[in-house]
Amino acid sequence: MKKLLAIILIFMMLLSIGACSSDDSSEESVSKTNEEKSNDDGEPTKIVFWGLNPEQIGSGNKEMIEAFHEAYPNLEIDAQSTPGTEGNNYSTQDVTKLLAAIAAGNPPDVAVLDRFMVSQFASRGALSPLDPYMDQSDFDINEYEGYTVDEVTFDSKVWALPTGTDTRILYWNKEAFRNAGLDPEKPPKTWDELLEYSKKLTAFDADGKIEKIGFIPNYGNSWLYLYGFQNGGQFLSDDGRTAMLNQPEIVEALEFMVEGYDLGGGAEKINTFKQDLQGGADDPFINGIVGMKIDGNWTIGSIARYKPDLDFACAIAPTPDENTDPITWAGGWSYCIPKNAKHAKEGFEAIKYVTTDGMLIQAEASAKYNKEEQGSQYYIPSLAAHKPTAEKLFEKYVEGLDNPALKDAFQVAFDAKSVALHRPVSPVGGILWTEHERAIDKAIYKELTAQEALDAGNEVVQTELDKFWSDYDNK
Amino acid sequence: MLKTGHLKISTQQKVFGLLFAAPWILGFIIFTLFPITEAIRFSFMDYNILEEPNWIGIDNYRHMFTKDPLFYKSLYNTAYYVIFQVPLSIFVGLGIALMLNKDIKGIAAYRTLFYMPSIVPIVAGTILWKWMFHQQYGILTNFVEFFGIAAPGWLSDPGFAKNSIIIMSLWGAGGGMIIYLAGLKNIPRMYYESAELDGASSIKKFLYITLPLLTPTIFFQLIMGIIGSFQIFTQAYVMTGGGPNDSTLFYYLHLFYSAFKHWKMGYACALAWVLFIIIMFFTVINFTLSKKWVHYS
Repeated sequence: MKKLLAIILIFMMLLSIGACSSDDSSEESVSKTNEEKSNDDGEPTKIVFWGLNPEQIGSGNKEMIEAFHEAYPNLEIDAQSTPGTEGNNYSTQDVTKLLAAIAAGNPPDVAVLDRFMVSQFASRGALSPLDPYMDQSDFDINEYEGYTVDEVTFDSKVWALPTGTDTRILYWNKEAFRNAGLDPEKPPKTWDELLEYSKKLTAFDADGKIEKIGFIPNYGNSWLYLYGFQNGGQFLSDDGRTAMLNQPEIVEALEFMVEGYDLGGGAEKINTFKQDLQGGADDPFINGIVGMKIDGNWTIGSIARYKPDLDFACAIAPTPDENTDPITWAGGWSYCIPKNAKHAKEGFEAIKYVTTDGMLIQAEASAKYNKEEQGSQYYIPSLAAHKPTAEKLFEKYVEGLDNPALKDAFQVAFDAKSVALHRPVSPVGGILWTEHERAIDKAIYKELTAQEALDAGNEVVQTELDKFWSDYDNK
Repeated sequence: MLKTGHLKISTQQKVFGLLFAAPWILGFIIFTLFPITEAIRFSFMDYNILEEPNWIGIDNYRHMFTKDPLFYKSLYNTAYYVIFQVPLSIFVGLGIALMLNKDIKGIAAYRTLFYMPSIVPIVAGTILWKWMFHQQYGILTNFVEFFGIAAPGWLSDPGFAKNSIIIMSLWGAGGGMIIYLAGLKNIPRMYYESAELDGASSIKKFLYITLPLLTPTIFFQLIMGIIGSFQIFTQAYVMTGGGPNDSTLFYYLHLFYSAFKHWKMGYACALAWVLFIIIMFFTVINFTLSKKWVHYS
């Protein structure tokens, strides 16, 4: 009797250990069963795909996944959830899950990556190069915007396919211009004019609180990258081994940002004010509280949804002076195939599809949702990195727009792609971003001068670069 | 069932006891003890998660003390938090417990109300507080402005953001309250009765009876509080991400970013061990000092 009891106990104990140590989430076991399924039993091969959420309402992802299966009957995208962007430093997605999966040798077949993070993964041997799959008859990498491909190229191999892109442009509220006595048809052309206009558009209440503000240098989406690039800075040497965060051009750009903050009463005051600012229907630019901003093209879609009759216009961002050529910088997402993925070849078919024709299906479903569920009058597509797809989207959704303001704005954003730069391709791209962000804070809060802040950041980045390259060269 | 012979029963019981505890023991060894010891090994290595680690001796530690300003900054932020948050939370928790240690109608409901926040998941609570701190619509903003005080930049002023996180942590003081209540219930009534016969005021009763007899409970809360607040992470991660201007970059946040954002797992392990030593040091000091003020009788 006692023995029996002991046996039962031991059995239960073993069971419980099994339960703890398998430690896998349901989705992992799902992917395991999929692996075991061969293609012979007529079942489609499931491509485990991270970063395409079919549940996201109005995204068109679900329709795209279904269309893919129709186009490739023997393949199926198995979309699984992956953490989104970090709440605050919205610079990158949360890659912890992907890191752990790759390190454990159980990666998905396809994963989404912020493009400037691709080389960080690739340089450490975490991804499969896509070159072996690219020489297909129906595929041409040159159809993707050059700068988006450069951003996912490391060691002269391509490591991911760019999906969308974006451009950062100047938005100004014509109504606010008129109220401040400015000519609504004349946007600022240079940094000096930008600050001058900003002064005229800014108003404080009796307590010295900001009521309206003309321009916040780091509101919307510009960062120091934009001003630094505009001023001829490059953040990193061409060979990728020397950090150039503290070159004079970038220091000057940061000084300009500090000046912009000082106009509105300093960083603390502006950021307290900024904390109140909402998105969506309460967007301060839509409400005329922020007169001008530099922001991504996605803002046009938000205006189209919440206030399509807004009296606004767009132009390329003001340049340091009359003699510099206007530019912008672009970011965006891409899909990569982790090393040791079980279905790399099939994975490539999937990412080829979702970065080209799939985007058309996605837009169609999204436009339908916009019109029928949200009652929006206008649908503004995103910018595709794949040029023919971008053209098709433009023709279908923008050319016939009967709203000149929205149409012109989209045109500006679309054309800006031709002068777009990307962030430096670096194995330490993440640290470069963090330190550039830190330097902005240190300078605008007056803890350090622009020069000191960038010197400090540069030293951190250089240390990491040296470490990386010495390891890399010794491999 | 039971055999005669005292010793036999006890060994048998030991075996059974261990068997029942086995899942936990094994879990602890595999998922806690092993990673902890591995972390010592990794702290002497350069390990980026994706590639094989390689041995670099004490470089991680050297980098920490000589080349990483954020190490000192985050340590300062954390120390600030510990110094203000721990005494405050003891004070508030004890205060609530004293107020709720009365026999009035509906006392259980009040206790539940005060205890509730400490069982709200931290992430959800933090998102809620983000709204409380809203510069325009926030409850707190309106509360202080009602008294004619200008609200600080709760989360946007580098000089104030840490205080906001401390204020938020006091919301969970109900967890401590439960423990103080248990301590208060353990104080025999007769002490108070005899004190009352001698005509002691309620202040005197508190100072000479309640407080000395509560010292073991307070000591326990102090130890746990220090260990816990050195590890403050989630609130800052969710609410500020370490900003503005690194003013809420706490030690654990720096450690987490080093590991998972910059892929310096070896360095993060070294940071973790240094934190362990710091916490250990304070705990030992506390135990040494406790002989002077904690009464276990």
